[in-house]
Amino acid sequence: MSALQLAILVLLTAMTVISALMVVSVRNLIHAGFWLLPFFLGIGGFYLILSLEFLFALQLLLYAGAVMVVVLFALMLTRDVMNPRVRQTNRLAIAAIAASASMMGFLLIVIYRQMGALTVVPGQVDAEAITRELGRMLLTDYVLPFELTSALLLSAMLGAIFLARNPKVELEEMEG
Amino acid sequence: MIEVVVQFFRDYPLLWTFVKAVVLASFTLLIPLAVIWVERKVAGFIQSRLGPLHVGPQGTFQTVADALKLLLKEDIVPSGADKRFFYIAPYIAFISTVLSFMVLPFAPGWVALEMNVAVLFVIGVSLFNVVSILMAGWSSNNKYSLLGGLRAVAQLLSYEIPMVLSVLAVVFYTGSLSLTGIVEYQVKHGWLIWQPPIMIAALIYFICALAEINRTPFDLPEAESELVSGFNTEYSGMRFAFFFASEFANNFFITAFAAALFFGGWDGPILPPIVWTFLKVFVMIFVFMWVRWTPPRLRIDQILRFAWQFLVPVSLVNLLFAIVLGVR
Repeated sequence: MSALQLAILVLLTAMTVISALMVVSVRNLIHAGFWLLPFFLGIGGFYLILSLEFLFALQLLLYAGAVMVVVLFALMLTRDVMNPRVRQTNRLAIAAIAASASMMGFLLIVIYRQMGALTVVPGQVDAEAITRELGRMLLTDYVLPFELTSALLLSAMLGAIFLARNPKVELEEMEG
Repeated sequence: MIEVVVQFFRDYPLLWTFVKAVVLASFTLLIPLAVIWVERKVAGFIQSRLGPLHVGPQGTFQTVADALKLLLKEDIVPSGADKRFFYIAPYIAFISTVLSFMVLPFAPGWVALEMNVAVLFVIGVSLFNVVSILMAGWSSNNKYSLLGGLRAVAQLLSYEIPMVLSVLAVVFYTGSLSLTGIVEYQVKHGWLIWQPPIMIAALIYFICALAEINRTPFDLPEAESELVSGFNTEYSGMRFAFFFASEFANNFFITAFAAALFFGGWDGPILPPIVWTFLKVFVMIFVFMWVRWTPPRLRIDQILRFAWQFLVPVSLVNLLFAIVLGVR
């Protein structure tokens, strides 16, 4: 690894970790939303230095683009988010730590199991073969989890619409 | 002489990358000057006036003078603004435009970064523009700015979906996610615009492109007559210039993207490829302006309803046709 590559890696890691910390520590919800952008970009940068261009583009499109904007939009539509007197944080810090710690634990288990296959410095990878294999696996071996995820997202969306629906307004619209 | 230069840059690839970045950024700053001049002339023509005349021949340097004026103006920040985000929002818009120019092939080999997922990259990067508009609208601490920002997000997100679906039709037809690959396919097999499903996709793309760059039937985020100036109400001087420049550069980019997707990019007889690219782009920009100065502005609910209840279903069905009729 050359000095330049090391520098880029350190910069990317710093950017990702710092912006992730900012997301969870700033008091203003909108600021937290905006801090998501460098975080998602940092993750995309890791894909890019592994020369996984396809994953990088998807990260950009889905996370840095779509998810980011939808999160911000939801925040903007939340009542009283602009009011400085309304407290924007809740007291669920312990539960949040527990949830993310368990997630981290699962990831560590996966990484630990694959330890033998990992190299310290990833060499040149055949990005196209990896992308093809990824597509094949998603639609054959892992088609059930894949479809379940989409069903989960769909139900989340329906739930959001149901919760956000205001029956009174709808009635007025029908009459008018 | 030229070999020495080429050899020099081959020895220092990092420097070469830097040069490319500088050239692209300057291009993104300079092309709006041309586009805005054309816009003023076309607007003048459509409204039976002459447009700019006095600075330079046919008023060519009017925009240059305006840009210089904007750069010299005081940088005003509203007292209640969210300063950090207020400062960086225009630059995010500008960077997103520069990044999308990065993968655009102007002529064979004239592309700053050959990326085999260029189409996805462009769509992803164009969403940063939405973030910057939202950031500007929110951080200005102004009702009109905030309304403009919210409208921008609702509108751009709604039109992004049919736009992506129509671009996907091209991707399925050519089997390539690379812009260079798509253009080369058209050089070999003829322009995609003549294929029936792609023709519909191009039409949808055209409508969505108008919405994406906030041109008049869709200029809700700015809407001078209702929202002062929408999301950029509070911006002045250089920051305003950056918003303005990135909007017009985006106008150029979105037509160049359409040229590459539907009209064979640099493909054309006799004239050199780069001339063909610019010719196609400026013809399309002219059409965009023609639309801008003809119909009036719509209402935000009409615009959103049109996107979700008409464009999305049509583009989905069209995508199905494109997949079935595509080459493989």
